[in-house]
Order: sequence, then structure tokens, then C-alpha cells
Amino acid sequence: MDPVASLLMLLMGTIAGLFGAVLGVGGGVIIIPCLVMFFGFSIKEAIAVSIVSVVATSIAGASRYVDQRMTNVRLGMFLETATTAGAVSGALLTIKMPSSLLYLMMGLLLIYLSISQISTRRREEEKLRKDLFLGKEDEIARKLGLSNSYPDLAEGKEVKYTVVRTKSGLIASYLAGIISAMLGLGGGIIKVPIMNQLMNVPMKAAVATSKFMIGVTASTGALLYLAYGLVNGEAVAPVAVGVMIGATAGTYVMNRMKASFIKLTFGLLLLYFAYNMIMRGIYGS
Amino acid sequence: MEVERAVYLTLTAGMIMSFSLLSIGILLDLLGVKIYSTFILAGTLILVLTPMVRVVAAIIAFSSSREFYNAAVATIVLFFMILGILFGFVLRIIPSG
Repeated sequence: MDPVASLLMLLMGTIAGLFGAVLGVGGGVIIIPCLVMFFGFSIKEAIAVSIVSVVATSIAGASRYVDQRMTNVRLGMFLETATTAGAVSGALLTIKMPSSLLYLMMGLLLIYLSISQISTRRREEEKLRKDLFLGKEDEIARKLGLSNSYPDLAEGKEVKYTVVRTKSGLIASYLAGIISAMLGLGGGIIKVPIMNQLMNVPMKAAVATSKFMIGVTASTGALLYLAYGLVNGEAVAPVAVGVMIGATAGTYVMNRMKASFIKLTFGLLLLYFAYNMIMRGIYGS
Repeated sequence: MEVERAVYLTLTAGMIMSFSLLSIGILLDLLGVKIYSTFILAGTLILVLTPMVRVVAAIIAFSSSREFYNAAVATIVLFFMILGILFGFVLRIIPSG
């Protein structure tokens, strides 16, 4: 491949990896449009490269976050049962084309989640300062030992939190898995709000745990793309290498940021996705 | 071994191996050496198999530390991952993100 193109793909991967590590998402939102617009890839080829790089961003980011004690491994595994089951169900449903109504509904849900992320950012800071993430855990959380703590570098303390509403979280994750598979939406965008807004997990722990989880659903998809020979090797190598560099760097930045800033950025990303979904609903994909 | 350690080691090993193979692949490609694609394929394969290996590592770690509920949870994850792949092959469908 052209050395300049390789270098540019590596650079793009690095930016996507950095961004994805800070927000707990895969970074497909950057990779797919860039490959299509700047490198002349078809959407299908771009998705194949992107899904492999989501695995790359997940394992690079997660290995650092697990080492930094940011990831809640037990909670991640618990919710993965639902996201993987949802992905299988959703893949079976995609045989029927998703209706524009589904896109519109998803768009509205994302607007709601965006507003709720942005409006609760001050509250998050207050909860961190006053240790309000501690409460009464439910039966499942207790049995599986889901409640945890993480060292918050911006706050300069260990933040303890109790996981609540595990059943609702599991159901929401299942639905999120189905919708992700049907609409081709990335993994982290719904996982972070489910943990943060529904299950009482502090934003940074939710980001780190989402980073850990997205690799699992993406890997089965990536394996299939690979088996069918749909992955462009010359593109996937520089993008994946760049993403791993960016994601590793991002894990050093994220914990030093204020949780309110991460929530604000995440809220804006949700809004962008909402716009995308609604446009697809109106004009077709 | 505690589960965090097992998961960390699996993820780091997978990352170092795939990162090295892919980087060698890129260099060989730039130098015009034909076998570059073998390195890229091996690196990509190790990359996409790493999450599955880390689920297996978690099952072993949970079992050895007698956290049987969590070992069961991790086994369910592995089951759905395998099911997803099987469905994909049989029905030729590819689950996305």
C-alpha cells in the first residue's frame, strides 16, 4: 500500500482510539466515515475494518483500565450475557430490513439519553464529592459481588459505588444488543448510559467497563467478516495499530479529566448519533 | 489467580502479539515483501480471538477462586459468542457492533 495512505490511516486510528478510550466507545463513528470519504472505501469494507478496530480499541483500552482498577470486570461479564444474547437475536432479525420507524425511535431515545447525560453532569460531581454513589445493593449485585470502587485521579480519592437495578440493566442491555445488531450502531454508546444512568455506576467506571465489554460483541462479528474474506488487510493493519496506540494513550488521559466534562462530551456524541438515526429514518439509510 | 489479573494478562498478551505481527506486516508491505499478508492475517486473527480467550480465562479464574455464580455468568457469555459465530456461518449473517 501507498506509505502515505498507511501513515494517514495510522493517524486516523490513533485519533479514533484516543477518543474511544475517553468515552468508552468503539470509535467506528470516526473510522467508518473517514475510510469512505478520504480513502474511497465502500460502506461494507469500511464497516469490516471498523469492527476489527473496535476489538483492537477494546483490548488495548481494557488492558490498561483493568490494570488501573477502573474496570468492573464482574459487572462487565454480567451485562455481556445480555449484550451477546441480544446481538445473536438482533442478527437473526436483520434478515428483515429495519424500518424507518426503528431509526426514528432510536433517535428519540438517544436525544433523551443525551439530555439526561448533560443535565446530570453537576450532580455526578456532587455524588463523587459526597460519596453518594453508595447505597443499598440488590440481591443479584450482592450475590455476584458487582459493587466496586475505583481510584479517581481528578477527585484524588477512591470512589466506592453500589450497583443497583441489575434486572433492569440486564433487560436494557439485551434490548441494546438487539438494536445495535439491527441498526449497525456501535457498542459503547448505549452501554455507558445504562451503567451510569440506570445502574448507579460512576461515569469513569462506566466508560472503562464499556471499553472492556465492546470487544466481546465486536469480536464475533469481526471473526465472521474475516472468515468471509471481507477484511482489507492492508487497511486493517495501520488502523488497528493506530487505534491501539491511541486507546492506550487515552486511558492515561481519561481518569485525569473531570467526570462532568466526560459526561458533557458523551452527551454531545449521543446527540450526533441521534441526528444520524433520525436522518436515516427520514431519508432511508 | 484473581480474575482481574487473569483478564489483564490475557488482554495484554493478545495486544502485544497482534500489535507486533500487524506492525511487522505493515513494514513488510511498505518494503514490498510478499509475505506481509500472512503476518497481517495472523495478527488480525489473534486480535479478534483475544476477547474470547479472555472470557475463557475469566471462567477458569472464577472457578479456581470458587466464585461459581460468576463462573456460570462467564460461561453463558462464551455460549452466546459461540452461538453467534455458528449462526453467522450457518445463516451467513454477520452481527454488527
